[in-house]
Amino acid sequence: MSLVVVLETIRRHFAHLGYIAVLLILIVIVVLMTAIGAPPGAPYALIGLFTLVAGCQLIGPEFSSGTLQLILSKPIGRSSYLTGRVAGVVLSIWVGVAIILCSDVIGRLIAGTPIVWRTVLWMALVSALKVLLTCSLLALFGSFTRSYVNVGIYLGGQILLSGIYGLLAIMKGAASGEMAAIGRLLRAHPGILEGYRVVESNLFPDDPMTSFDRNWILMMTCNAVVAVLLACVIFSRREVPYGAD
Amino acid sequence: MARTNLTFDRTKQRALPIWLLILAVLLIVARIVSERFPEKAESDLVRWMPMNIAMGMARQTHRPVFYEFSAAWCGPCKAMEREVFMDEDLAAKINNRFIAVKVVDTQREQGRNWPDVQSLMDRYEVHAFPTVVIAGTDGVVLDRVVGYPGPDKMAAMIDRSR
Repeated sequence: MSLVVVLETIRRHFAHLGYIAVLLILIVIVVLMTAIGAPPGAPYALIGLFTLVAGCQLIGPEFSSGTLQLILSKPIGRSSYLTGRVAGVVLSIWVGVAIILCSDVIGRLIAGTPIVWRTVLWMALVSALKVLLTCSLLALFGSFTRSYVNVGIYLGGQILLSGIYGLLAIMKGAASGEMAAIGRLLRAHPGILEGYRVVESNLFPDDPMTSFDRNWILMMTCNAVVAVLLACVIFSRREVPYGAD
Repeated sequence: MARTNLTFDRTKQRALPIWLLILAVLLIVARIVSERFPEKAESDLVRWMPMNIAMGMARQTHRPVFYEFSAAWCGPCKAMEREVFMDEDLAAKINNRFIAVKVVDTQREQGRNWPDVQSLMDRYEVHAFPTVVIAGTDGVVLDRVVGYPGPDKMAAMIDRSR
């Protein structure tokens, strides 16, 4: 991982007016949400959209704008560049998570609402890990496509996988009609639906059932690291890395 | 000479980070080991009653029924479990004042619900999760909340339905 790329990525975020505006808007929204008594985890829903916007150009702008040559005094490996970019984007979004956490706590102190620290901290950790996995997947999808297309694949995949699972679950119950054959197959081989569910829940995981769920934390971290590793494999073999062009 | 350096650099430029490979392997091993030895599940503190005997118990004890309609995939339901049903005070209030019944929808997982679950959902017009319905001993709805409004509002609902 290149520290220069990490720092340059963070610097670019903080130098961007849109990023600063989003952070300020986050503070206002979170304080308002806390004042009207929103549930503890609610403000973190805002981070999902922020992650997609910040992560869409995870691979790319330096290649097309030519600034890569300016910020680096000597060539670096493609994997160093990619891991540096992922780390920089993740850290920049984690600043947003930290701001939500602080605004939420301050808002609750002002409103006089009790603070359940275990829940508040767990919600922040869940959000931070979701950011890590989302950015890693965006890096993976971006490693073989280009900027913006990675977000399209991410959102499309999420909708399709969930939709197909719902459809298969309905087909499984079908006893007659055209779906009966598929229903019989799915009932005879429950592993098909279970396997599909495992893939879906690893790529787009549900929220954990219990606080500080060790298995959930490990799943998120492990999947993120594997996604970045796969992204490095693909990115290092790409002939012409292109980006936001 | 220059050509040799260029070839060397390009190979080095495309090398994979060993540290990431080692980290991935370690995390995969940790995940497999962790799933083999699961943590003791933190269960909620509410005494849930089977739905077939709940109404009979409610009539005997003259207590309303507290129905929680949820689904395994529902995130807000999990938040409610953590913040309401695992909270000692709120769980004690629910246990003392109501006959609590958890109704889990399986439409998405199994393509259909058990008939008694579906009948309850039709009766109380449950179309979203979580939905909490407090019903009197005659089955009439006394209070209902659709969605998870947070622990404070749930506490207020429990208090006003005493």
